[in-house]
Amino acid sequence: MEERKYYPLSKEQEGLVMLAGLFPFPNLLYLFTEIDFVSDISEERLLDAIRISGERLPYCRVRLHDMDDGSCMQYCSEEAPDPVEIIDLSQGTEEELESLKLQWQKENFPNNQRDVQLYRFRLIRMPGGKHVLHLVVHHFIMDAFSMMNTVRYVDAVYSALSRGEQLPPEAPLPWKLLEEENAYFGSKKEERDGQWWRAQYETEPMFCSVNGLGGPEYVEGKRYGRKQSFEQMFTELLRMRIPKELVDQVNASAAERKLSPQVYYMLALRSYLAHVNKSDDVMVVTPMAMRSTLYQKSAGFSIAKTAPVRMAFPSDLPFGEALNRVAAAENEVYRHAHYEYFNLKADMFPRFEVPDDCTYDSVWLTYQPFFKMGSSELRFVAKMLDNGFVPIPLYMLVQPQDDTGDLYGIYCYALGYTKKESCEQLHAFMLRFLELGVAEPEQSLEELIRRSL
Amino acid sequence: MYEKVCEILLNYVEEPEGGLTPETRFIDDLAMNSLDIMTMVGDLEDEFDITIETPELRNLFTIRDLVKFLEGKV
Repeated sequence: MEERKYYPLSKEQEGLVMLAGLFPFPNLLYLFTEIDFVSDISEERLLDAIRISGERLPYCRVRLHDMDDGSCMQYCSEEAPDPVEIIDLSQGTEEELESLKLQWQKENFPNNQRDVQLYRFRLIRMPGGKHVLHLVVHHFIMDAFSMMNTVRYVDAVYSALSRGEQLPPEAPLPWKLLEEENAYFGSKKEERDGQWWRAQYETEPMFCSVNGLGGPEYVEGKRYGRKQSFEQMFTELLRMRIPKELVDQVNASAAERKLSPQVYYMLALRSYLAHVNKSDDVMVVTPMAMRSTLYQKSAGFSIAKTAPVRMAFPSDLPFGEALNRVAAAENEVYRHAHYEYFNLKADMFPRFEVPDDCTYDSVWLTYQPFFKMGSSELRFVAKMLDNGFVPIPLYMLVQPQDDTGDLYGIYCYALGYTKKESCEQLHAFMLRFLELGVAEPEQSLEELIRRSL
Repeated sequence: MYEKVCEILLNYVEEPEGGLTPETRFIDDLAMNSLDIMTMVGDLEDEFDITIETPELRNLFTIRDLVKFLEGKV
């Protein structure tokens, strides 16, 4: 029998292992997705599809192991995937499902997450022959992009089984990805990226919060916010609708301008923060899926980076031009996003005499329209669920939640730090701002902000 | 230079029917998005040991444009 080969962790994974050791709730590093099937399904075929996917996606088989010298490494297990748990709520209610989801949110992977499968599917039978699939993954092996890659692969396998066609190709092992990731550190490219980041942050950024304050412990006269205490990391989650009509208008405008629709939501968020914080210099952090090559896209794994996007431009700029500025800022950040944000902060904080318990991070934004599937034999909507924790005052996601063509602003806000009303005001502003901006792109941001409040 | 650029490009896109030609357009023919292009620029910088500023990319629409640009830089 071939001896098992162990691989080092990536920098991301090392950070996650450290975080997991600091907090008593390992599930703060779990990602949850619910897949609501719109079409009827064959249970047997779906279970086969999930099992086959677990076998053919090597990153699903990655497990952590504590070595004899105390270090943590990883390997690809040859064991068969764990069976899917089936829960019969065919005589049950939505409330019972919600209650189960909350319970699952609190459960940990066994054995201190070592030498065990780090994802779990549950299939729930609901009334009327409907089905819901619940997926929890550990951030060690997947980020949101690769989690959706997994769901898409299950979809592709299900379709292939339904049609008697060839299965989709097996994904490559993630080790080359790991090697590329780790080779970056200490390279000339890292040095170049570091120089670029220091140039962007020669001047101090602003802490731009959704309520214009630094939080309950805001220090008068200082421009940065206090980091959340542990108790302030628990979340409430608010979902608010972005109507299909507006989504379609944004998408059409974006297609015409050859921009991603994400830029529009980023500009809306940026404009709101500029207004409430009275600053034209706004920083929003965004997780970026570092997946451009064909290999990166198929190899899965966990390589999302968080990167700050600094958008400093005047409010008299027309909406159309501001979109280009945001897109340009994001493109540049993406080019340099492999650089550890932690290293940038370690450089900035002493320069700007910022105490360790402060931060410039106030809002994260991700745009995930790919969570909705409508092709092949399975029709479903995938919803990323709250995991109960958030490391910043507000994590804003833009995602579908149903099959209507609407999107939703999903606001995971830190209790005791950000108020629900602040998220509601931001959302209302965003809808009005985008509607006006798309219709009148020659209008200045200043004018659009005034009319959107 | 042309062959190297094509080799790097095929890390990002599947080879289209009819293959790559100097006239192949990154966005219209290969459906590359700006993020794909940004990452590929990093690979080109490493491969040819040059620095490419983002504004320099604005007028590069085809493989021929990119090759000519790189030949001027190297």
